[in-house]
Amino acid sequence: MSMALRTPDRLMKLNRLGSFHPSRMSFMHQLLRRMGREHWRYEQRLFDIDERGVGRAVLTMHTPERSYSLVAFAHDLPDELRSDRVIAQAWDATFCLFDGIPTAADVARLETQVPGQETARLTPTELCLSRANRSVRLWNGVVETLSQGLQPSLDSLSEVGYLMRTTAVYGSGKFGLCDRSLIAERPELNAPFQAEMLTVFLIRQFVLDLLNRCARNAGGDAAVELAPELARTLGIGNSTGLGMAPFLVNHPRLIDRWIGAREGALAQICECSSFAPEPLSRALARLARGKANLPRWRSAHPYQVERVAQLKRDLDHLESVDLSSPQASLEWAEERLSDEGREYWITCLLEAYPDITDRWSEQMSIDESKDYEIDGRWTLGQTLDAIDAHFGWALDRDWDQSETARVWYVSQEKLEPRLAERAEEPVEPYEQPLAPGRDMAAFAVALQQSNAINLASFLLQHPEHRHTARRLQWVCKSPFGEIHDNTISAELKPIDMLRLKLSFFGANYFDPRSDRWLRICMFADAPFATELSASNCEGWG
Amino acid sequence: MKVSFNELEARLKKAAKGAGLPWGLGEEFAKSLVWLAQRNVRLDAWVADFLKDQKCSDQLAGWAYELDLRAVASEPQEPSVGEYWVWLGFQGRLAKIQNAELDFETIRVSPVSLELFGHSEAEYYTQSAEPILRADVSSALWNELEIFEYKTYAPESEASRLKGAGAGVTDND
Repeated sequence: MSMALRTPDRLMKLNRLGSFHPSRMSFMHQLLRRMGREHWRYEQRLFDIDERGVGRAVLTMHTPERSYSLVAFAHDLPDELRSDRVIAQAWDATFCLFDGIPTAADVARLETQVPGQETARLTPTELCLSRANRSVRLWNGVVETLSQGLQPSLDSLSEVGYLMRTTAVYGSGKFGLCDRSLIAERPELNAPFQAEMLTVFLIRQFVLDLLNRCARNAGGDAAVELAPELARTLGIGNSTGLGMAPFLVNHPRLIDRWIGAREGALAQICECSSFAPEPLSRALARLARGKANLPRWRSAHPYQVERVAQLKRDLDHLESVDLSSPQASLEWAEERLSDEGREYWITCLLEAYPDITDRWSEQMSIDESKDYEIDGRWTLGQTLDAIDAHFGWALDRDWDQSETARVWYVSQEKLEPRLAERAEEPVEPYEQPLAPGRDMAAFAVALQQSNAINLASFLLQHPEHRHTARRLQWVCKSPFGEIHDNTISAELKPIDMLRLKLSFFGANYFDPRSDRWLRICMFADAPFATELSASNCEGWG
Repeated sequence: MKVSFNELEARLKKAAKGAGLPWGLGEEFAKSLVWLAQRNVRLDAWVADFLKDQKCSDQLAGWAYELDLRAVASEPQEPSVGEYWVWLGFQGRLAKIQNAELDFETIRVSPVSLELFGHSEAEYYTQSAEPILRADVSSALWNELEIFEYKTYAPESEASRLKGAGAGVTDND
């Protein structure tokens, strides 16, 4: 497939998007490179944890200009209350990312709010809110082993991959947190989700420190700390459900920046007429790392088991890849591999040319408040042409019962996004606007039946199409922002949507538990805050 | 009470839908009020009163029409407090798009500011030299908007809780 053929119509299919892998463009990787290269300094300012593993901590990262602090609260949670769902009301640990260094009064105030999570009211000095639960499979066993002066086996750690997992990481003004618009111009926070990634990075450090403290509490002088080489293999888990899926539909201009930057980097890489030794070496090293780490990608779900098996076959097959040039290798992968392998080779190519990739990585943000308004001066003909150009895939469907089998809605309890079978549950009156394909097709029909002189006049008569009209105009300028698949189909696998976003975060070891929620791992193999430097901030994961 | 602009926009959009408006008009309503809040206009009962007014859908559609055409919408005659402010929010957004100042009889809006000259609605507005970091919303309004917002959410059921979100009986790891 030449670069000219890498169009949204080919690439923006859910099966393909659900095969994306993390790369150096991922937000976690961008954060660590910045922290390492700018020599951010870590400081544990407070670690007041008692013999039960309960208490509070403040972990601070100092940039050359500012400081950011994770304020952490460790709780004593009964096992029967532990749940990953939004409807949970208590957690093993709760956190917020504070803008600066909190005073004792700040910590006391946050202690009244942060443990309540969704009931919290926070202020512009708090950037993120999060919580985490222990891995029941792993935590107690590792604490006991360390308390006896022994190290756990790598295999036992790899079975789970994390000691604690977050079940939400909130930012962007939720619960009174700081609006992104107030901090987006800071260089260190301009790339997407940097505050959230920093929060998780520091949570990982806290979890390690808490583990070692609990082991010492249990074993006294006999206890040992988790060996650094074992600790580094562990990430922070995350349990992600449908809550993340609407984001992909609701922010097409941002998604376009992510995927457009990736495609821009690939196009520039493919301009190289051959593989120079150093880029080739980097690509193959990335491939080797992927193969070495693959056994740690464990899942019991049949869907994922098959995908991992396919990826293994593809990674083996990549030993025969055409390495005459980046373009040739990409075409070879497109012709011979599954989506999993094609996407993994793209990760290798991005790794091979860091200067190109990192420059494109600087273009992944957008100010969504700009160019928000509808341009009603379009003619209806112009509007229909635009629909045809960007939503032809939606116009080709009948939108019958099977095509509209599902309905997205939000539950009253804890405001949890859900997906229902339209014919089985009476939730259609509460349908959320997450079916752009169907809505665009209906918009086109209405336009064809109208004699309005322009789009503004049409929308004055048909305000029910405003939301869709706005989306159309956005997608015209942001073609990689639209998923070219039916988001309410009976065949929809929401985990494909989740994996797309999570891969851009940098998460890996996707472990679906059903077709609509999964566990992943973040920062596995990354250096900890205590050891981060310019020499180890990349080449991990 | 103080809320973030993101929270405000999300609640206004959903409240408008809960009040019976289509999503697209709710978006225009929300954006216009956020523009006002970012300039230190205090949101109070007049917001909910506007939503409950039978004319609000036609008014929003009309002001949105003018904004779509990048035209100034005529100042409403003998407006309610809500009509006045929401109309003004639309004009503020137009000023921002055009990067221009718009002058009305007793108001001037620019891309970043708002000036009221002896206007009776000034009780809801305090000019500030400091950056506005939060929206100022009365607690009563916030609660009333939440009631509208909840009309967009499906009532809970055990089956929905288990099936719709996809997690099994045991979520614990």
